[in-house]
Amino acid sequence: MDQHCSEEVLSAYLDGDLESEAAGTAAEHIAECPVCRQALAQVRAIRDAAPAMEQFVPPERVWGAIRERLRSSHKRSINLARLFWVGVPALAAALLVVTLAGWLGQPAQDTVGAVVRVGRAPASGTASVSPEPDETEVADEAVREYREYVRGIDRAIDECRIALAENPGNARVLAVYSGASIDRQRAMDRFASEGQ
Amino acid sequence: MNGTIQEAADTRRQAGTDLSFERLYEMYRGRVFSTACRMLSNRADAEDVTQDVFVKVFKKLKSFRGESAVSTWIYRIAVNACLDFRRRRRLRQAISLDEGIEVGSTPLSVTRLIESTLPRMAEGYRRVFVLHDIQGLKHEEIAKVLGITDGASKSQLHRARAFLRRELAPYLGDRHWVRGE
Repeated sequence: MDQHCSEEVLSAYLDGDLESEAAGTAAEHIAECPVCRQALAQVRAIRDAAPAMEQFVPPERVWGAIRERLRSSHKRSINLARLFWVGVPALAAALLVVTLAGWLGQPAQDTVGAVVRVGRAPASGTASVSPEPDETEVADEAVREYREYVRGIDRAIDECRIALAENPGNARVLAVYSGASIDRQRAMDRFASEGQ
Repeated sequence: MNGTIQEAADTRRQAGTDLSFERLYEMYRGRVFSTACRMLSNRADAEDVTQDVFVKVFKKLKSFRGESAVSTWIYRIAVNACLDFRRRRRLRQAISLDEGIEVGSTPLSVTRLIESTLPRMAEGYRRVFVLHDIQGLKHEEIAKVLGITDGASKSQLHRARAFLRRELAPYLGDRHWVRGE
């Protein structure tokens, strides 16, 4: 071997990573070559010094910051869970309101109107006409539907209140709550005005 | 701590408690922080990365399956966190070596010389040198941590040492002699 060992060969030789033939050739050369012997000694000095390099310890504030981040992350996950368990029922209730409103929307007015008409009927003397189906049955059905409608709104309102107690800033629940409250008030007003 | 499967199992068993995480932190904080210091050449950045690493370790601890040693797993998270940090940082500004880590007080000791030269070493070589020669990982472990082959790990290590030797030759023995290629 006429040439000097390459840097990589010296390091590999030091770690015993060379194949036996290459290791033998390198060993022969290093034994005869003061330049490579010195280079090998330098690589060895670096390799042997490295494990003794200082192990740095992070300052206390790092542990404090980790704990704080984990704590706030935990809070966020709890809030998300609450949002799920409270928000989903609230939204379901809101959907129920919307569905009921859609279902009872125009017909509901007629139904309430029917109650009123029925209530007035005896006074105006039209009760004797006895339309089919029986007006009293229609009135009962209308009142039942009306009450069910209002109960649906009330359930939605209650769910919204619970959700808002947990998370007052939930804009979607606030919107549902506000809409449901308005719907309830309108229904009550309509029933009161029509019923007089 | 030798990072055995048994140790991994013990860690997993204790993972549900804050105490075990604290213990894990105490066991690995030095290794993670030192690796981050040397890979990032900046102590403040290394503190941020150490935080990121342990937050991630905590969140993933319960899903750790013990297929590799805990140490390998944590080193992988640490190295990836360092790489991510550098990637983000590179977008903003070049790393300032002036804010570098404080090195040992022994003047011109080999360790001090290595410490001061590391920031100039190519990132790929540096990773392997830090993990192998400083932190004591085997090439098989480094291969798992970095997602490279054992051969690539060895090759990069030898190149890293070659770089250091060239840089430090004036201080190692003959001060005026730097071996030519």
